[in-house]
Order: sequence, then C-alpha cells, then structure tokens
Amino acid sequence: MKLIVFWFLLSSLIIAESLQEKGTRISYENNNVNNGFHSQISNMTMTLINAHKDRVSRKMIFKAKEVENDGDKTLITFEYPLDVNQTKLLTWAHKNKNDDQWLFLPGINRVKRINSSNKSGSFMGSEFSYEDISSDEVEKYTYTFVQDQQIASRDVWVIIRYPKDSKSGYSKQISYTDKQYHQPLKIDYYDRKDELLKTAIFSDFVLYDKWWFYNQIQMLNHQTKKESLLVWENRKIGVLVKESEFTKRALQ
Amino acid sequence: MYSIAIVVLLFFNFTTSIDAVDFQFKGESEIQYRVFDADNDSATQDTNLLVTNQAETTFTTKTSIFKSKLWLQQDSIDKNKSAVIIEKLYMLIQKDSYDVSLGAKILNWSTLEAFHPADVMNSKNYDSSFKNPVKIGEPMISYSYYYNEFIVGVYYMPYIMNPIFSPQSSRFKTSQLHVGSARYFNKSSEEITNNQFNQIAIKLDHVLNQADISVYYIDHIDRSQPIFSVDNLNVIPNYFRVKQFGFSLQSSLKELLLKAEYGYRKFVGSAPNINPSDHSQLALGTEYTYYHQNKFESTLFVEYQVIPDVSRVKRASLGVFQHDLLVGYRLNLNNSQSSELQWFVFKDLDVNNEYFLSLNFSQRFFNMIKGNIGLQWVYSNTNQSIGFQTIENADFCYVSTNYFF
Repeated sequence: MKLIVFWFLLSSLIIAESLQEKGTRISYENNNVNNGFHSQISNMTMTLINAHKDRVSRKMIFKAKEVENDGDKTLITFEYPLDVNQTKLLTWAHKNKNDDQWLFLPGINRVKRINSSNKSGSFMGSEFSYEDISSDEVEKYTYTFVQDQQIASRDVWVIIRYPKDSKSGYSKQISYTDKQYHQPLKIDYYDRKDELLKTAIFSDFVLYDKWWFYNQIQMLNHQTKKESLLVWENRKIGVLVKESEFTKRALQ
Repeated sequence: MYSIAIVVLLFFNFTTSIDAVDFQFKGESEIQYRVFDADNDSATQDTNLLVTNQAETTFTTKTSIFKSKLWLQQDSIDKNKSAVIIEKLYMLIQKDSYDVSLGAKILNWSTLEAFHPADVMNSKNYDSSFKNPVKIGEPMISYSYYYNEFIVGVYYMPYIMNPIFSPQSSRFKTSQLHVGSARYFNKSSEEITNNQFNQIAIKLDHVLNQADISVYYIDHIDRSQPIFSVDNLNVIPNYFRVKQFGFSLQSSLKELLLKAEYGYRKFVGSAPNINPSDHSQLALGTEYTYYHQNKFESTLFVEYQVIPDVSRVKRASLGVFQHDLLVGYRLNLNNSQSSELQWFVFKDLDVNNEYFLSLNFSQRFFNMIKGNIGLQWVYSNTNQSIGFQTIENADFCYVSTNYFF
C-alpha cells in the first residue's frame, strides 16, 4: 500500500513538473514567434464604459521598439481629451526588474519619473492597469499548462501564469492562447484574494508580414461591471522609429 | 538681434510648413475670476478677471521638427498685467543618436514639485503664478548625444531674456516701490547693457537601476535669485554671472519615489555695494502613491529645502523659498472627468508661525473644458518684508475655466 502511495505521489510530482515545463516552453515559443518586428506605430483609442453603458473616449499615439535582450521601449502620446494633449508616457520594460517609467507633463515642460513598483493603478481611469498596458515580457511570470481547448472553434492552449513580482495586482492569470496566432484570445485576471477580477477578450487579429497582432482588447471588470475597450488603428510594423525618441530628454 | 532671430525662425517655420508631413496645433484659453483680501491700497485691484491664452504648433517634416508656443496674459482691469511671452520657437533635427536644436526654448531640470535648486535656466514672468511662474524662452543652440542609457547635452545661450515683475497695481507685487529694469553684471561692476552674453551649460543624464541621475555645469547670468537694490525710489533686480554645478536625482525605492536637487553657486560678478555670497542650495523630497480599491489614487509629498552655508538673514534675502518644508497631498479620483483635489502647505523653518497654503480642485467637463476652484493663503505674524511676508496681503480665492482647442 505504501509503495502504491509513493508511486502515486512521485508520478503526480513528475506530471506537475512537466505541466510547468510545458507551460513555460509554450509561452517562450509564443514569445519567440511574436518577436522580431523591430518597431511599430499605431493610433490607439480607449473607450471607458460604465455600468450604465455611458462611453468616454481617449485617443493616443502608440510607438514601440524592441530591445535586444531586454523588454520593449514604448511611448504613448495622449491626444484626447484635449487637456492631456501631448502628455507622454515613456516605458522601458525590463525582463527581470521593475520597468522604468516617465511621464511628460507639457503644461510645465517637466519629465517626472513614475514609481512602477505598484502596478495595480488604473491607466487613465480605465479598467486597464499600468501592469496590463506595459510590455508583456515572458520572463515576468511562471507558467503551468492546464489543457488544450477550443474557444469559438479555435484551438487554444490554456496556461496559468503567476506574476513573479509580489507587487503585481494579480495572484494569477489564466491565458487562452491561440495556436495559430500565438497570441491570447482571452485572459482571466484573478485578484490577490484569488477571486476573478477581470477578463480581457482579444479580437480583430490581422497578419502583418509574418506576425499576428490583435487590434482590439475588451477588458471587463466583473466586480464593478465597468468595461474598457482598447482599439488599435493604422498599425505600421517595422517602420524606423528613432532610438532617441525613447529617451526622457526627447520627451520635452 | 533677438528680433532678427525671431524673423529668421518664423521664415524657417513658414518653409517647414510647406514641406510638413505632420502638423499639430493645440491651444488653451483660461478665464480666471479672482477675489483678494482687501489691502487698503488704492493702487491695486482686489477683484479681477484674468485671461491667459496659449497656442502651440508643431510642424514635422522628413528632416526636422519646428515648434512654437506663445503665451498671452490680459487683465480685465489692469492693462499693466498684459504680457506676451514666446515660450518656444525652435527648429529641431533629430537623428538616431543625437539631436540639434536652434531657437528659443524652455528648459526644465527640476525633479521636485516645489523646490528647484537645479532648475535655474530661463527668466520668468513673476506676475503669472506664485507657485509656478511662467518661464520665458531663452534663445539657444543645443546639442544632445545619446549613448545607451547616457545622454550628454550641451547648450549655448547668447542672449539674456528679461524677467517680468509684477507692476505696482498687482496684488502679487513684492515691494511698494516700482520695480525697475533688471541689471546684469559680468565681472566686478561690469554691467551688460545689450543683453548679449555667452552663456553655456553642460548636462549629463544617466539611468541606473530605477534612478535618474543628472550632473550639470552652468556658466550664465543667474536669473533664479535676483538681488534687489534701491535706486531713485525704484527697486532694481540685479543679476550676476554665476558658475553653478550640481546634480539632480529621481529614484524609486520600493513604494517611495526619492528626489534630490543640489546646486553650488559661485558668483563671478558683483555690483557697486552688492557682494553676493557664494552658496549651495539643497532640496530633498519624497513621494508616496497609494492605489485605493475603488481606483482612487492618493499621493503624499514631503519636500525640504535649505541654503546651508550663508547666514539666516542673507538666506532670507535670496528668495521666498530658502529654508522650507512642504507637505502636500493629491487625490486623483481616476474617473472619466479626471477629478482631482490637491493641497500644499509650506512652512518657513526660519520663522515661527509662517505658512503658505494652496488648495485646488479641478474637474473636466465635455472633454474640452476644465474647471478649477481654489485658494491661496499666507499666514505670517512677522513684520519683515522677506519670505512669505512679501505676499502676506495677497490671499485670494479663484474660480477658473480652461477651454482646450
């Protein structure tokens, strides 16, 4: 009897480890497939929808540049509402440490560093947090493969990812990643109490050269019933974005 | 010479606009209604309507960017408060590893909210705002070189822009006497009469482990701390050649944001009967942001500034803020109207019972209008005309609307 229990425990352990390895392997493979586009520019519209379905829009210009052996550099320039026009958010994402983030305030021509340690703050009053908006580096999580599944007739890998950073607003995220696009179709976000907080639904997939990009994320907050919609338009891939644009000096 | 430079830059602006691949325009018009405490001074107005307008254009071509920004102020009653300021009028050529700009620019090297020992460039319009006076664009050639996480900036500024002081009719005047034209001194008693002086600055920026570190050297006519003298019943602001070096720092430490600014000023010039003292100025600050469950954001600020190596009396003559503590709080409701409440309290640490309070609530309406309501209040029981005492009679409350276009 003891031998059977021992073999059961040992085999369970082996299976658990292999699920982690499989989750990690798939996530890193997806990351490799999605890398190499060099840089991108697009127009972003974020729509805030309250529980009464009232809508408010924000418009931004999004620029991103890949960095070898580190996270992407991104620059978001706000255009609308007009009182925040030309306010800029520069992020240097890192794989193994907190991101560097700066905010340019055009009214006083000042560049201010943002403390990126607390990631759960709302991005422009939306249901997206700074953590959701920043570059999704694969090294920031540990992974466990759950199962193969189908969502809307599409094959997906279901993988649980656990943020390594204790300051993350999430205890875990369950990702449903499309096997053709190598991009998520859906992510369920669980808060620190391990209760379902938000769901992101990714859609409008377009093939640019050899990379699939989603052009819409619908973020639904299950606790407040509010939602936010993020839409990309006029996306250009591989365009030359100057390195100097992603410096805090250039923000001014 | 300055007028010729403006015409040349406007010509570049025009030619750039023909070739522009992108054009951006933004503007802001603010109407502020202010009510001051009665001061029993017939020269001043206790109630007024102040209108300020800003317009900014950006032309981008394949090779360069041309920026201009104009700031205008007009008072409904007091015509002396009218001002037109060129904040930006420059051409920028941006490459992958460097950029070069030519024209009038505003530099902001500050890291703290209230105290700015490292942010000493540009003249200011002291009649615009007590907390954040509007800066005046200074003509310059600047070159920045980018290498990994280092940036080296070199600046050459050949022309001194005159600061603007509050007229006698303003409630923000710091003296009962008329403020005369500024005087600039190069070497001992050698006055610069045509505003032309070769000023230079070098700044090195580095990003290191969640910290922004900057070191700088400036050789210029320092406009951050005028030294006043009296001449024929006029108060004269005197400015001197200063060689300043220092640093600034912004760093994340767990949930805190730590900030520091330092400058050491060595005066090269002096004026008859005025011998400014070399001194250093240090400001330290921290900021803590707490994110509430309901998306509200609370930020607490604490800042401290001191000029340590001069006497208390001399320190007091160097400006309104010389040895002070600031405690501030900002509540961002993170709603669709961007509602925000903030208050700041300054305490003069050299004088008992001297405080400055600023309170403001703002909210956006219809995506293009922002409303503000607030007050500014000074409590002081000293009778010296230094520090906060200089504006003790300028307590006021206000309501304003900003229209963005």
